[in-house]
Amino acid sequence: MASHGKSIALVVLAVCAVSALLGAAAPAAAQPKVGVLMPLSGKGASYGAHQQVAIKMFQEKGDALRLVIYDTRGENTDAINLTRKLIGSDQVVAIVGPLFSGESEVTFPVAVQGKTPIITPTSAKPGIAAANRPWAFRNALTSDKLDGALIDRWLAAHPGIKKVVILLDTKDAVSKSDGSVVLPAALKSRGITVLDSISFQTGDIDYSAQVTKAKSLNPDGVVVAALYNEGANVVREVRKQGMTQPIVAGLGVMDPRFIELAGPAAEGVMTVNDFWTDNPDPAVARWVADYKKRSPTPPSNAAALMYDTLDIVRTCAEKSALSGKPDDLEKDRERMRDCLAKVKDYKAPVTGATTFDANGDAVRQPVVLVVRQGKFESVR
Amino acid sequence: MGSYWESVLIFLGINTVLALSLYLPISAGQLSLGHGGFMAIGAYVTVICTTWLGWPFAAGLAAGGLAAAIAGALVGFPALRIRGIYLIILTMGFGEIVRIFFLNFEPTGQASGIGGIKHLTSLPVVSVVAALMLVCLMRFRGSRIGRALRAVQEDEVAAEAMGVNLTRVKVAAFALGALGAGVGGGLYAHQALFIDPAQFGFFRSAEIFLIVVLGGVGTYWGPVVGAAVVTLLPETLRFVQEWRMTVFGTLLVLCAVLRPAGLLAPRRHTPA
Amino acid sequence: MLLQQLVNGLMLGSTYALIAIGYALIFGVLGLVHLAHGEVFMMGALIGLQLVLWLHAGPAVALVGALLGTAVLGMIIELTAFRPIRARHGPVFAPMVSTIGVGLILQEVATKVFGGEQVGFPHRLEPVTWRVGPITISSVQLLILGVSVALMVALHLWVTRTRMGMAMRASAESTLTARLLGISTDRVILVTFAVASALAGAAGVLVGLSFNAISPFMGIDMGVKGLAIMLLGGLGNIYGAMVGGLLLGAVEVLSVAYLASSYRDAFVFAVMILILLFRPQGLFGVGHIR
Repeated sequence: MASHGKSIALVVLAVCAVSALLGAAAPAAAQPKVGVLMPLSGKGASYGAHQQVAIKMFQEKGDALRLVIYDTRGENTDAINLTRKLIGSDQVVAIVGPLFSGESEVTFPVAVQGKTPIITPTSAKPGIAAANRPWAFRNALTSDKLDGALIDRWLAAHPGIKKVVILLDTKDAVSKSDGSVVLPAALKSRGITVLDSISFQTGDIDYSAQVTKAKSLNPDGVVVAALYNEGANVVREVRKQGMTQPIVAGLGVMDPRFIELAGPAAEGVMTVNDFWTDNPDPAVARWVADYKKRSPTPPSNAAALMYDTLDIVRTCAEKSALSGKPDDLEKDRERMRDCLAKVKDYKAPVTGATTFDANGDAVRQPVVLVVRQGKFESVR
Repeated sequence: MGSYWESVLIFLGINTVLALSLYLPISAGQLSLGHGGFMAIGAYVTVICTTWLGWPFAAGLAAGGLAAAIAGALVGFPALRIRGIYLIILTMGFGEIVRIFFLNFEPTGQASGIGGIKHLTSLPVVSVVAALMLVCLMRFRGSRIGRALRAVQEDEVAAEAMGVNLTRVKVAAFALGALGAGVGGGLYAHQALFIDPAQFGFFRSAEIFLIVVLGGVGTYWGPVVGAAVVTLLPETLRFVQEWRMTVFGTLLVLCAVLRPAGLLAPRRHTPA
Repeated sequence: MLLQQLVNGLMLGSTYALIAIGYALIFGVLGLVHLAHGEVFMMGALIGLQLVLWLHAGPAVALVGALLGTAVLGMIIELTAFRPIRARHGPVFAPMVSTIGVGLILQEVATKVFGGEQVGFPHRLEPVTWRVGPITISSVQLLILGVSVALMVALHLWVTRTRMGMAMRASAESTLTARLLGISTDRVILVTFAVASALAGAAGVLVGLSFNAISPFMGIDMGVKGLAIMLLGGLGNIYGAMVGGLLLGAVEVLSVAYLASSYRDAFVFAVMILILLFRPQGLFGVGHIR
């Protein structure tokens, strides 16, 4: 037993020595280390699975970055601990993630404290990057930059609309602000009356009471602010109860799953985003086809944004002439931050020309979409 | 020590504070699944005091604890009439109502929550609070009210016949437990630096409950051991990757089955 | 609108009732809370869905498959998470820990096997809707109502007319006495779990068919509400659970219709707490509190 333990210790020592030698021999400008926070278990695991495919596609294109990937299970406490681990122990030059807005809210201040750039590919909650200048960024579009264009197109397509009902998810912070602040403002400034705002909560299964109430108000149009699961079920229920009014939905519903779940009820629903799987642009179509080879489901927003975010971080790592020496970590992180802050009209492979504004938020050309024959189509 | 482990240990400390706070009512026979609600009240009130009013951290924590204790006393009164499973579900309902209140309360940001909280919770602070609670609980056991509590736990009717003021003892146990949860909430808020209603849902209550019951309600060290297991186990299980919550669940079942009275079980067994 | 809202409440309430009855059965016999019951409900929905997808079957096959599948699952849970604790005379809250563990395992395994996405039944099962005067009723709603009523009647006949059902009631009254009377309480408990879980599984399929929101996490809120309803109706009282379910369904839709929709669940729990304060034994409890 004792000799056994001794031999293991020897082997371990030998391995350590060899790896130390190798490490010393490696060139100073090794791949920059980048942390990735995403949910692989728990409630967000399905988003994480999509992002994993995107990460694999990114890694197959080249090993420009050394990714340190951690599972947050969508939990705030895990996200905080892991951000500290990435900054303190793994010494990454930048962090990509986390997925949810709640996690972003708690990790951004940690990154600011640790002076490490952090960029969430997905969180769409207004103001989170702005509150954590200059280290926090987000590569997702926010509703305040999209809803004006969306409502304009919707009203142009349905000129008879004078009064609407808003159905909104009050548990989801993004939908809540979209449905209670951004969309009402966009509607009111265009002379539309909001008859009532009727709420439900993320994870609800029955929307019949809300829809019956909306129906009784007899609106000209229905406005939905929800994530795609809940949005699909609301839209289904609206049609099931015989309401035929036009529907417009905030960007939360933007996912191929929305059409899949809502089925025929999704027809004619108008929404807005920068990425959609049926985008005819050849570069996007190629990427989507490539993605579908590795996954039974079409790519979601989360996957596209993860891919593009990694691409932006890689470009910055290449452009910033990072030293890669542990002593220069602080400087390398500053270089990454400065590079991210200057991203302007960058040709992101999937979502197109991207600029980070003074708040650290991505700005891209939004495209208004409408569901036709089970597919998203851009509105001309 | 890396800041990662420091962060993990801070959460361990916060979980210990929360678990000790639930230990008190549980030891008086009052099972509660609403501690997430008291934690929420403590967190919001502490944050309002420190962030908006500029109070020092200690004063903010005291205010948060006090607010939670008042809510605890209010819930404690109906708790006199009901026990066991009824109380579990009543407290669960209370926790949900608190969460929904904050989800709809405009001044605290509704679903958007409150950010920009100062980082005031540190390992020394958490350790001191947890140690203080442990010492208080130990001294409390020998005090008049502590002995009364044990008497109530053994046999309510007999205790009352012996002159124990049942109302006072039970409400006090519940309010003190809520106070601890409120302080725990305040500590949590100043470590997470952002609070929203979603963080204080049924899950949080169930987690605190789980910690106490897993550790064992027979001794003060039970909640401490439970907090260590529930905080550190998912971290040490990282090597199983995306299966770690499955493994965690399996270990919970095994713990409950192999040591039903808790990891630190009391020597004396009482048949259920 | 009121009439339509009452119909909505009736549909939601009857699925709540099926879940609450399961809690009531288990609590009645064991005096213990099964915190993974919501996950059993979830598994019922997923099993039903998989049958429909794999075998291209109709709702009837889905329903029967879910009934059988969750009955087996319920028995496995009893054998692994309850019986060993009983054997060691563990405290009443020990099964709460083990069932929280079981719930986690079921959620995670369901995510790994079926994916974490929310899914719905294929659109070929899309219900037909009829308009009757001011109200809209769909074929699925009639199915929910029909199946729920049928299951409740079957349950009533089972507990009052069959030997096993009576043995179960005897065990609920007193496990010790039942054992003295020669009833194999372990077997009774096993059967109780099977029946309770099957009801939850059926509820899962019905909810999946009508609301189309099937996911590994659909059982969490349902589980919490089912527990509240069981208590509302009187602990362990299956008839109370039926009425409690319908009542809660009505409170939910009416609070959305006439009060603030964002406070819906707060109203639900407030009603529950008020009833508990004035009738601690629940609406149909017999005054004896454990």
